[in-house]
Amino acid sequence: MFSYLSSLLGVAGGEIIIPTLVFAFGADIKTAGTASLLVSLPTVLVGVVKYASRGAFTDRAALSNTVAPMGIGSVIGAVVGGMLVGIVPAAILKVTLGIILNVSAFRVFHKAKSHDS
Amino acid sequence: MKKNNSESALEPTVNSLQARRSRLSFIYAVPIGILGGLIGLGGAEFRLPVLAGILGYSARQAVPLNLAVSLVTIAASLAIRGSTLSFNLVIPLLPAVLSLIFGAVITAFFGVAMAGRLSNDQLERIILVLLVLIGVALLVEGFLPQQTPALLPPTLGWRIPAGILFGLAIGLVSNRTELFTHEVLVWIRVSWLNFV
Repeated sequence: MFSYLSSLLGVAGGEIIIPTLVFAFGADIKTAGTASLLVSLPTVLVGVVKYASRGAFTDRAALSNTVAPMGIGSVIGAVVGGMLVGIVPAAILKVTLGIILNVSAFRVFHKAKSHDS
Repeated sequence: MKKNNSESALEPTVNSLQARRSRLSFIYAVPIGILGGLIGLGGAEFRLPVLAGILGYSARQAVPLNLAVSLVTIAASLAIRGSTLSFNLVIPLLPAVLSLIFGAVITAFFGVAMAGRLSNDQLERIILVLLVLIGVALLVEGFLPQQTPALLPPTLGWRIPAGILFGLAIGLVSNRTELFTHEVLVWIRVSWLNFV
């Protein structure tokens, strides 16, 4: 069941969970983001373990030239973002997430259009 | 640095390809990581086009690699947020979060039957409208001076059933977006290869 959950929430989880917590449950957007991360951590971990047991990480080159530099870049980014979240007003976070959702919607739209043609 | 004439049909050497991958992986990961720390997103959606398009991985390879980097991003984001924000604020949200997850799991099990009633086009349209509505609502809220009140009263009797209902919907959307992701991956790869 947990692996279901990990594939389910791994893809579009945060982008939808965060606004749901904000609008329906009155959470502040920073707390909603932390809650979403707390949900994601175990589910993504299960996903990684699942893939690892299937031998998805046996390609050493991909680990050293992609996962390692991406991981380092992500940690640097996360630290910068995590320090910013303490000082950036919630309004800016709402606007940013709003833009991200609209971009996602545009992608879905684009995809639907390319189906038609 | 090896001087490579771009006009010549020479394939780049394995070494230069590896170095290029490392450099690009790092460069793209930083801004996506910022979103993780700042908003609370794992960033998988944004890294996927990088892995499958720019770095040229197949969908089969890109998905697990992406998930591994998501894990690093999420863990780092939580660690740093733990020092800049208080985790205590999350505790009152737990009933809502758990009922959301419960609802989403139900859709994961019965999603196929539910989705069978609606056509793909209808679902795509509903999700599109939903994403735009939520996105616009966030933009409006972002520009409003004061906090708007929660839709639901803060009693558990309301929050748990509503959470399960929202979870059902989230499960349905995620289910679809995951399908999209795979189709979009193929689309990115094809258009990237045409572009190069």
